[in-house]
Amino acid sequence: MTLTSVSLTCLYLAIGYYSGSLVFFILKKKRTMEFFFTGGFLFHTISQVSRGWFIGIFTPVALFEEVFFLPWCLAFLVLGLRFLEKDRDLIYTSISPVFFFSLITLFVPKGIVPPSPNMQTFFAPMFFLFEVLAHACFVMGAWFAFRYLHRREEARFFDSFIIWGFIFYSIAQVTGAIWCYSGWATLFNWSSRHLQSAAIWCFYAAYMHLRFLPVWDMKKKAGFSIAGFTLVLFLSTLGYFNEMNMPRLGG
Amino acid sequence: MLQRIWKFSGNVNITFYLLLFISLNLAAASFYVKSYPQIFRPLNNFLLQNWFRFYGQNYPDKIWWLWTLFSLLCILGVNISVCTLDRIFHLWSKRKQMSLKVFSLRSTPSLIHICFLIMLTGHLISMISGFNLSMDAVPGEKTSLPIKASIRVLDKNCDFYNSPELLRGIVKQCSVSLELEESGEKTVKQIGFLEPLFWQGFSFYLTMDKKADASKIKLIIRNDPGRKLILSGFVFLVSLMLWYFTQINKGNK
Repeated sequence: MTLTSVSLTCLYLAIGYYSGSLVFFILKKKRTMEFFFTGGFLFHTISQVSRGWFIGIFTPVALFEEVFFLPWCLAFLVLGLRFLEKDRDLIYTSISPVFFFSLITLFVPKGIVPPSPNMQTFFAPMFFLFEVLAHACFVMGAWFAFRYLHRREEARFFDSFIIWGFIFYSIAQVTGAIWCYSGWATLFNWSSRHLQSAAIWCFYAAYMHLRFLPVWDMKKKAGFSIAGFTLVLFLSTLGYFNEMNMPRLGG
Repeated sequence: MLQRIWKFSGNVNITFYLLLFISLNLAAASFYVKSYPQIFRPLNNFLLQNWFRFYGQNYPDKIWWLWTLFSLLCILGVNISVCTLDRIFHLWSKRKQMSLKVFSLRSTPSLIHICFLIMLTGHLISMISGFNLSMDAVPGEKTSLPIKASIRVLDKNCDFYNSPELLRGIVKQCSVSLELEESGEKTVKQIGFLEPLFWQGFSFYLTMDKKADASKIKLIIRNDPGRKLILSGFVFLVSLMLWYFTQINKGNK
């Protein structure tokens, strides 16, 4: 069995296990749901790691490709929250976005974008790692903001997700700028990708200022973070469609 | 009256709406840049004023977002400067009533804003000054630099993947030999992808397009006076943010 088939098999198993955990969550079978979710996360981890060797040599950028890495980050955050927060019923509602984003991976090409010489730097995988981690925080923030708006007072920790998402996103922009400078001689390019990143950064920078505006209570902040998620989804989804047209190796 | 104008200029409410409008402006800009690459791609290789002369002024209906973006950023710059000064004066007058740690913590948002202003200034300097040239990295190509020096491409060699099978024929690395001449003195240096050369205040880079075509490698020559401001501002901004929110988080617990 090659690493390519290990990666793909584990990805399909992970999606199956995530869907199983969602079913058992709806049926309120907590233990079985936890078993399926943890199993899904383990299969997903194996799939992601083996994805790095998808084409026979190690390509670190492939590990952090957003479509595949985002649901892994979401699952990781769910498991992390499970140990930190008391209200597990509330936390496990976020299996839904994990399932939704892992389902998307079924419909995109599984191969990897050929490694270009400009990607052979430590800053390239670091950029993708922090960018996707930030997106995952924004998704989780929006999800718990949505729960907060539906009379779940305990979900007010959505604000922390947005703050840490913004910090990760800023780190991604710094590593991305260094990568861009060493590869393309500029810290900022007038390209749609860079402008979209700047748009998302400014949106969440605006969110960070809400703490100084008393008129913006938690309910309004929750609404704003859901709007932020819509912006991220809209701009990132367009990126996915663009990447689907790229030449790929290995499937 | 002056005091009222000062207070209004540094209002956080205005900061919030400005950032929101800038965000929407940038989102709209990304669609224009994607839809009209023939107009906006050269913006990466020209100084702003030169790009406007050769490209921008011919398409006023496609570049409106650039004017609104610059206007909003200018207003944001003024807004943040006033807000930061106001807060620093306020905190400084009360510094003896708090510990050094509390004072540092409360001053951090102002320092973050200063870093942001430094970054904005760096971007402006990069866009309107310095030197930016893109040319084909083909042996024999020659160009002059504004410091009475010239460069010539001597040689180009590319290394391709032989294995695994899937990667066969894809470019792994290229190296280009450059002859640099200043005041009659000649030196030969080599550059490669992600291996730039820094010489007499100029930097020399190799780049290639997304199709990774080895025959279309470009040599970029830059003198970017704003880069240090942008990079140092951003690094300090992120470090301060990390420290600030970690401390706030600890305080909440």
